[in-house]
Amino acid sequence: MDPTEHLPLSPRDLMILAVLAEGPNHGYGLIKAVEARSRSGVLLDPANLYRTLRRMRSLAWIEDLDDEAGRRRTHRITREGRAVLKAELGRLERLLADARPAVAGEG
Amino acid sequence: MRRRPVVRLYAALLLLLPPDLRGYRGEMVEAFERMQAEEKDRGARLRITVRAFGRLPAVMVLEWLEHLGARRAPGRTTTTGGRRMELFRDLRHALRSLAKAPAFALAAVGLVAIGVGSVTTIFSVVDHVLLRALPYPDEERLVYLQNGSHSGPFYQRLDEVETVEVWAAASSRDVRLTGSGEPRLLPLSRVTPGFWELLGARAARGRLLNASDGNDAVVVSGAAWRSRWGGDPGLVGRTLQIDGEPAVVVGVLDPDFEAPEALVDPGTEFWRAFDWTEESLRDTDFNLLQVAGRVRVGVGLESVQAGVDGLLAALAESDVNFRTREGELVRVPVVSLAEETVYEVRRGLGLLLGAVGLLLLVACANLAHLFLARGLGRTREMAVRRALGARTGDLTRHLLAESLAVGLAGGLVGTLLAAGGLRLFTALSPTALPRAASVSLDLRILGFALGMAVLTAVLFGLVPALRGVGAEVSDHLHAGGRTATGTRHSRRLRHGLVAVEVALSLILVASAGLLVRSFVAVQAQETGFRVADVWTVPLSPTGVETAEDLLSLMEGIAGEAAGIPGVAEAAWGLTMPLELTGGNRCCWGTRGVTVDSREVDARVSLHPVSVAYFDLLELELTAGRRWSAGEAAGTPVPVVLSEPLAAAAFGSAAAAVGRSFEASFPAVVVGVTADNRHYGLETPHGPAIYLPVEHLPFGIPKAHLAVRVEAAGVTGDLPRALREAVWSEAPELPVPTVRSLEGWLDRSTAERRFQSALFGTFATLALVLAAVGLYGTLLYMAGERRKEVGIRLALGATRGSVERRLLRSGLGLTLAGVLLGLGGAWYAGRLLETQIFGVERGDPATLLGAAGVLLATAAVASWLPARRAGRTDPVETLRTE
Repeated sequence: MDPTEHLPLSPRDLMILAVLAEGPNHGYGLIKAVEARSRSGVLLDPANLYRTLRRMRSLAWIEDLDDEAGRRRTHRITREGRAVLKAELGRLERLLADARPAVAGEG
Repeated sequence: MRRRPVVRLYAALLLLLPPDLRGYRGEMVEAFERMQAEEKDRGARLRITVRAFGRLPAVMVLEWLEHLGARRAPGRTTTTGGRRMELFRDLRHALRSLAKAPAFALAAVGLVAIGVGSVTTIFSVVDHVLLRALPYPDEERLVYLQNGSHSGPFYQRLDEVETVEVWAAASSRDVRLTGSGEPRLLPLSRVTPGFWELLGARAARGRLLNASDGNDAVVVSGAAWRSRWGGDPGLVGRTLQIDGEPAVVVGVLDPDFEAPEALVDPGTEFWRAFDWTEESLRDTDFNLLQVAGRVRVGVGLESVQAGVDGLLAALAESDVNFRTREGELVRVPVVSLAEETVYEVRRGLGLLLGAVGLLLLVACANLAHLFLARGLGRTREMAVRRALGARTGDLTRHLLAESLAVGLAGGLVGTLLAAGGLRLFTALSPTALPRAASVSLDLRILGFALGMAVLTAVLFGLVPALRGVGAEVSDHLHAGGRTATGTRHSRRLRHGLVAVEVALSLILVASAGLLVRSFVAVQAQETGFRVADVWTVPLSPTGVETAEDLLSLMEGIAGEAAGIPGVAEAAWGLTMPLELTGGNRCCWGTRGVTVDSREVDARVSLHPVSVAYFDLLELELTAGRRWSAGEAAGTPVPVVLSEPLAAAAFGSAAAAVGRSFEASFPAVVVGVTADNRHYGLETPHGPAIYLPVEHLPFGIPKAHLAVRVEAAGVTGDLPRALREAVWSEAPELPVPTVRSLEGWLDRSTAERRFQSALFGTFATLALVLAAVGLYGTLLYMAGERRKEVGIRLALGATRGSVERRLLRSGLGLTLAGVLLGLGGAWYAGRLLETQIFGVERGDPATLLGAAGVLLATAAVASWLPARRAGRTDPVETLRTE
């Protein structure tokens, strides 16, 4: 799989992958964790979140873990997911590096 | 735990997602619920809600497109996906054909909206107030001790009742809040520490009261914290002046806490602990406490009752206060707290629910024949489409889509109506509905009413399609629109529907008639005292210790008030007429009087009033005179009796004058006054004794000032002037109300006015619906008979005879409905028995009047189509043949 195939990622996808890269989480935890990074400007609602999660799962970026009770699913990032996240972060960093000098003097 | 309505709505909408994402529905709902629950701030909660709902449509559309796209991709053309596309096509088609008949579409949508909206509004209130569990932990185990208030010593012995795990008591009164701006009179409740635990109350700031708190600690309710102090977090720790004493705010109650209205005054703003050293709490003479408790798991009400009865019996051994006058044990019934909370409003709301249910039925019947009429008019269209190759299934689906579209659009409008109606209802309702503040739309009943409307639409919308089944296409085409025999059946159905509608409307109109007549009868009651030009000011002078203090304070205030330019007279007493209504009585009374050692058993109200009271209110003296200022302070006490008491004790008014008797004091009758409506227009005052204020035996924090203004009126601001008059004597005394006696009168009948207005509205709606139904049916009938009429006219029938024939059909149907409805109306009158006044429940005039209204409406509704039929141009109709 080519991790750059799906780039650029939407801010929402990026934030979800970034949160999951820190460890598995469930849906509500994801909403709160993304919200806590309030500077990102990404605010999730349940319907969109699960829609996105389903898409990521079909792309094999994440996988579901059933918890003990089997009631609430926990989501974990896969190797592919990490590769995509890394590729996107790299792309953004290069983009920033290229763009920044243009306004550097204006503070 | 019950979910918030908004969460339930979200959960319901998520059901519309395609199946693959629907698997996550449970988690989505849970996430949404937790987002809601975790957010304490209302604004933030609203933002979350808007975000979640606002983004839902886009997700919905994208999901369905992807879902259908994915299904189609593998090349399976006849999958469910394909069929779903057909449904969309049908819906589009349905909308297009509805747009071509805007009158029909509007009427049908309107009907669904009225039915769904009104039922949902009223049921939401009923459900919330009567049916839904109280918002307290283990609410099904909470009990309440009836028979008014209870004494401190009784409460403290309640611990001996072992079937109850915790008791709590509360006692409400108004207190003065001073120190900032005008002095205010605000409701305070004293509660035991168990109160908070019993009801699961929590503090939003600071802490709640505990056993070590005294009079100097106070908790502020969440609502007061927001409205009076703008939610200032610095309120905790501040010192307030309550009844002139400093009290420190130790905490703020959770704003979501619903105070139990069976125990404390609604709108209680301050909470304080009991001071058990207080005299009044150690005396079995003083019944101050409202008591509730939580029974142990698995214990029934009967065993709690047995425990309380046992305790009362034990207490009665040593204390006569636990026996009644007749020597029986005092009864303290144990009921569930929920039962107690809704006891008074149950009947009124139940009746409203019945009325609105009838309205829904009328709306559905109307919807039914609207669809029938439209369907029958399209028989030919259906036949043509069938001839062009449409299958029965296609036609059915198309009609189904139409019915669904109407039902859903009506449901949407109805929901909006209900949301507005609910706000209106709670705002206008003059009774303090228990727990009305927290009413919200009920989604189950919305679903039920909507389901009923859609079902009606679907059922009757499909009739034309079903009729077509089995019939030869060519039959209809050959028939050429001429009345085919098959319509006879459906005609009977339509006529039946009209009759039923008329019958249901009659029930509503007759019920409304009874209530309106009761209202008129109440309004027509003679008050027995002057109402015009009188203004009154109820006061609660809390600092007053003795009767002398109260007397000198009130005499001073009355003197000031009499000095206001434009004021003719000022008087005062413990209460004024119409201050207390609806079964409430004030404060001082006696059980019977003794005349020549003969006991006259009666519940007697005692009214200490100033001399000017009789002149100011123009009370009619039927015998004797009022006491003079010089006599007032003398003994035996000079009194004026009400006529009922004079009759009971002395045989007649005239016989009473000059006689002596014993109340709780020795008295001599100087005059007798006609019975008046002191406690409201619907209640005769009954046995009462007016006596000079000078003989008030105790200090009581209650008095009521009245002034009569001169006919020329007062120049300037009378309420302001009256307040100033009070404050010139008592600068810290709150003056919450200055109201004209007309205002008090208005207030005392507001409940009845509201109820009749509501019933009147429902009845009018039903009447209009029935008229529209009749009109539509006759119009259709006229259209059906156009050719017949054309031929008749061509053969020489007069216009008048044609019109009469149709008019007769309309009135005949109405008459059938009226006969059907009279029985129902009579039965409805029985249900209304407790609500009506001055009119018989089966009042023939009301029933006939209602029947007359319906017949008159029917006459108008039939006349218009009849006239149109009469104007048929025979040449024209015959040419189109």
